[in-house]
Amino acid sequence: MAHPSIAGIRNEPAGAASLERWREQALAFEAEVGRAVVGQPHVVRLLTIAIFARGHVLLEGDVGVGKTTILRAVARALGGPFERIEGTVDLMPTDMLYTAFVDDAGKPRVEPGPVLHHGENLAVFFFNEINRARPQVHSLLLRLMAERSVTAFGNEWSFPHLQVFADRNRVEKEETFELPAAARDRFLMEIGVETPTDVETRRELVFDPRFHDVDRLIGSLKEGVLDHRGLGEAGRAIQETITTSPTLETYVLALWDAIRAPLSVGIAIDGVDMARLIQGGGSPRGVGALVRAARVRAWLEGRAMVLPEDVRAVFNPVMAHRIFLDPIYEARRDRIVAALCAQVFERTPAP
Amino acid sequence: MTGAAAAQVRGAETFGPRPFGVLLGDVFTLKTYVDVDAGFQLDPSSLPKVGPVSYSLDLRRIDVTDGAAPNGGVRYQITAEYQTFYSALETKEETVPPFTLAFADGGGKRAEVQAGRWSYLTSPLRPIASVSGEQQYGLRPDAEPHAISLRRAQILTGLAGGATLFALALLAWSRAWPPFHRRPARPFATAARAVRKAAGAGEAGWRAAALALHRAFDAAAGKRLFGDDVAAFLKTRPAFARHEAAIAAFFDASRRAFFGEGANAAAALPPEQLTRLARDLAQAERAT
Repeated sequence: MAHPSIAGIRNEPAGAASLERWREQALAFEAEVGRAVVGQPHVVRLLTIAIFARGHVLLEGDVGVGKTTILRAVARALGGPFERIEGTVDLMPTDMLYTAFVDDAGKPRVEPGPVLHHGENLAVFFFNEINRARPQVHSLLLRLMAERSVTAFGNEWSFPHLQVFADRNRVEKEETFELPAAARDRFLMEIGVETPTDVETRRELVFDPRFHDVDRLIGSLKEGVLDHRGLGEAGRAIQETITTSPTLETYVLALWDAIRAPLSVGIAIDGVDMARLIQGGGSPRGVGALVRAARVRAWLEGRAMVLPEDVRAVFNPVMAHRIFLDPIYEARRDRIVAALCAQVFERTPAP
Repeated sequence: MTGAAAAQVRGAETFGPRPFGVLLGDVFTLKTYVDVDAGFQLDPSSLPKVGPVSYSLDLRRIDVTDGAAPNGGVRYQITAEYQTFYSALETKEETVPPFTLAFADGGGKRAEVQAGRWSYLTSPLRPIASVSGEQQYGLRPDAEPHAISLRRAQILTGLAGGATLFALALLAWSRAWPPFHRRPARPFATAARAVRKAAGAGEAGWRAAALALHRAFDAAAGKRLFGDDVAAFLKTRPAFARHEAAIAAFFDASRRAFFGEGANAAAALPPEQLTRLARDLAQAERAT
């Protein structure tokens, strides 16, 4: 290659030894969450990647598959202040920032709401049923996610350690507000949670009384396996240490091209006019997020270089929700995007 | 013909062929008809004997048949076949001598009659004087040989040839000879050739060879095969499982070469090893 790789011109950061310690902690974190969340190792791995890639996550799935349990377990193992809010139709942006009530003396009082309650140290903000909230709330959340800051009580509040988890059930469509494209693009990953298919796991989930009382289950987990305050630094170190070769850079760009113009690489999906399918296929921010997540995955696997396997492992959660389809294909989105992603990997040679 | 006999023998007549132009060796037949009164019968012993009649005339055969005659009598037909050996020097009249036939009734009455006399002209055998030299007697071309029809043989040969071709086609099909060699593609065979050519040609050659092998793995797996997928791939294609360690080494070296930080690829997996792996895989592929 004539031009040097991006990795080649970056300075080697210090603290490779501490990164190794971080990795042990990350694996311990996974194991701890895995005690409460059975049958979803894939989801736990992706959440760990998101945490170290410093990205927000949207969980999606049917009712009762354990989305909330997963997020609570992660929040507990992560340690640090944790706040949650339920999305409802009448929730207003101010409800997230302020709590208004009448005090003992009969006077109206306004105090910091869920987001501000723990001050700037907030580590995890969990937005339940995000698609029930109105677009005004979405836009506030958007700012909170993108800039990790809000304006309240006349001040600028910044949350350097904040990570937003949201969940959305895909069964209900009434009285819900679909997330705007910009909001979806702000989520690093959109992870689908499925019912476990393994018989043993299902038997355990249904018959083991341990899983019937979620509060006790979560309470039994060790708290703060990871130090949430150091995550930002660790994340940066990972991004600087793990290398991507020119070959891999070419590969990722080829994947990006294939997603944006599937016809050019000969992708064909049954019953779909490929020429009009894609309205927007992956923003630069999205592909950047892909590489970020792939680096973290390579680091978790104990490698110093990113492989195509890493890209493939995080591709669907990171990229699928950033592909915008022609409206007539939106109804069949799940099937089409899955087929598109699978074919992109089939058509793009690596190395 | 005697008077006494005439009463019982009504008539005797002899008929012959045309009485001239008879040559040496000719055969002629004389027919003699004799009508006799009822009650009289030919005495067979009075018939002439077969054999030489005179020194130049033979009697070859003599037949007698009888039938009804007018007035209730019997008509005998005597057919005599003669051959003449008379070598005439000039045209001359010859005579077939008559024979005497005897008839008898049951009461001792006998009647005799002479018959069978015939005169004819016999001529000498002479060559015809040559008119226009020997050409007239020149050799004529041989008769055209009669062409025996080969149609049946030709049809059978054609059928046999067709059957042979059909059998050959069947054999070629079953053995996957050309033009029936559209068997599942053999990606590793192609890759092995490319690897053998490129592997030794320095760093770039090694990379080209590795890429060729990667494409063969992709084709064999039906998708892009990454290092992590090798175990699953070997499970579905057990023919390659024998080379598992070498395959793992290849993927490891390829990772370091393509995705690592500028490592010397050829050091991790020498070109000879790469070539051998490609050859082994091509061989394993043939076995499947």
